[in-house]
Amino acid sequence: MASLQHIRRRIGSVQNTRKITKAMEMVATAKLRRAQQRILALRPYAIDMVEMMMDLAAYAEGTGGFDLLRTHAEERTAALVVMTGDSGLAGAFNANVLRMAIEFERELRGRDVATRLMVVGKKGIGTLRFRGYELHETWQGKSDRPAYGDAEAIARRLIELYVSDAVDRVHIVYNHFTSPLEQTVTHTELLPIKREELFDERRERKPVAYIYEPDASAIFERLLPAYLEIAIYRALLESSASEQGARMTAMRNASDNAEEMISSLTLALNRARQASITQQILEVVAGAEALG
Amino acid sequence: MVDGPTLRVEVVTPDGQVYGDAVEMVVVPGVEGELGILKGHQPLVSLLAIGETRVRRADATVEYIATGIGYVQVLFDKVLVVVDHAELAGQIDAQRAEQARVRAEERLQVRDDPGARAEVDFFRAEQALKRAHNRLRVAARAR
Repeated sequence: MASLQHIRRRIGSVQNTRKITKAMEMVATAKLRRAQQRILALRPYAIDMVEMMMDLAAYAEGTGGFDLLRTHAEERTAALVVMTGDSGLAGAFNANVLRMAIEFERELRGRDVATRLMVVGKKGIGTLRFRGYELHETWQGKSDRPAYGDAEAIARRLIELYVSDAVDRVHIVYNHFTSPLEQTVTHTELLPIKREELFDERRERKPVAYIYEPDASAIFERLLPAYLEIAIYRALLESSASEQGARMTAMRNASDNAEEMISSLTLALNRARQASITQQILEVVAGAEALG
Repeated sequence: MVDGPTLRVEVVTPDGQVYGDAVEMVVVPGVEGELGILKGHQPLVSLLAIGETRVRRADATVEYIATGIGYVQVLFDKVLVVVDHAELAGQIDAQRAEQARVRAEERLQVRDDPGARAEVDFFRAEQALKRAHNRLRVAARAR
C-alpha cells in the first residue's frame, strides 16, 4: 500500500493540475465568446458586400474575363490552405484538421495534382514540417485573434498564384464552428469563385438607375477579391472559435477527470490512514496483553 | 417634414458597424475624387479609396472617419459606406499609427536588399503605410 505521504503528494499535484485546467477552461470560454461576437459582427459587412456584387454582376454579365471566376480547364496544381491553431491542448482540434488535410493531399497526389500547402497556425506548420511536407507559405500568431488584414494578406497571395496560373484550384480545410461543443472539419473550394454564387438569373435587376463610378463592371472586378477575403476571414474566425470551443471542452473534461482522481485518491488516503490507526491499536492491545 | 438631418449614413466594416447616424452631409473619398452627398442625391455606387470620410451633422459639428477601400452606395437618402476598415478620428491611437508608419517604412527600406526581400510582403507594407498615413492625417484633422 502506498504511503500516506505519497498519496498526499499525489493529491496535491492533481489539485494543482486541476487549478490550471480550470483556469484554461475559463480563459477559453471568454475567448470563445469574443470569437463568436466577431463572427456576428462580420455578417452585415458580408451581406452588404455580396448583395452589391450580385447587383453589379447583372451588369457585368457578358463583359467576360474576370480572372477569379475563370475556371482553369485542367487541375494540375492546387493550393491547399490548412487552418490550424497556434497552441495545443485543444482536444482533437488540430489533429482532425491535419488528418483531413493529409488525406486530401494524398488524394490530389493520386490524381497527379501537385499540391502547394499554405498553412495557418504554428501547430499545423510544426506537424506538417515534421512529416516532411514542403510548405509553400505559412502564417502564424493569428489564431488567437485573426484580423481582417490577415485575411487580406492570405487572399492576395492566393489571387497572385491563381491569376499567374501557378495554381489551378484553391482548396481550404478548416474547422467549421457548429456550436461550442461541436466542430466539423470542412473542405471547400475557394477559387475559382463559383459563378452561380454571384450570377443569379432569377435575381431581378435593380429598377433603380444608379450612377456607377467607375462603370459597374469595373467596380465588380475591384470588389471581387473582397468575396475571397470574406470567405477566408470567416474561416479564420470560425477556426479560432472552434479552437476555443475545443479547448474549453478538453479542459472541462480534464478538470472533471482531476476531480474524479482527487476523490478516489482521498478515499485511498482515508483507507490507508484508517489501516494505520487500526494497526497501531492492534499493536497497543498486543503489547498490553503481552505485559499482562 | 421639417428641415434638418434627413440623410442616414452607415459605415460598415468586417468588425461591425463603426458609425450610424442621421446627418446633413457626407463626403467620401471616391476613387475619382471626393464625393459630397446631400439629401436628395441621385442613386450612386462608387468605389472608395483609402482616405477621409467626413460627416456633417445638423448642428454643424463634423465627424472625421479614416476609411479604407470598399464602396459607397447612395439610395433614397441612405448612404451606405462599406469598407475594409474604418476608425473615428477620436478613437485613433496616434501613437500606434505612428509606430505602424515607422514599421512599414522600415520594411520598405529593405526593398533593395536581396537577402531580406523574400521575408517582406511589400504590398502589405505599402498598404500599412498608406493606412497609417491616413489615420495620422485624420487624427490631426479632428484636433
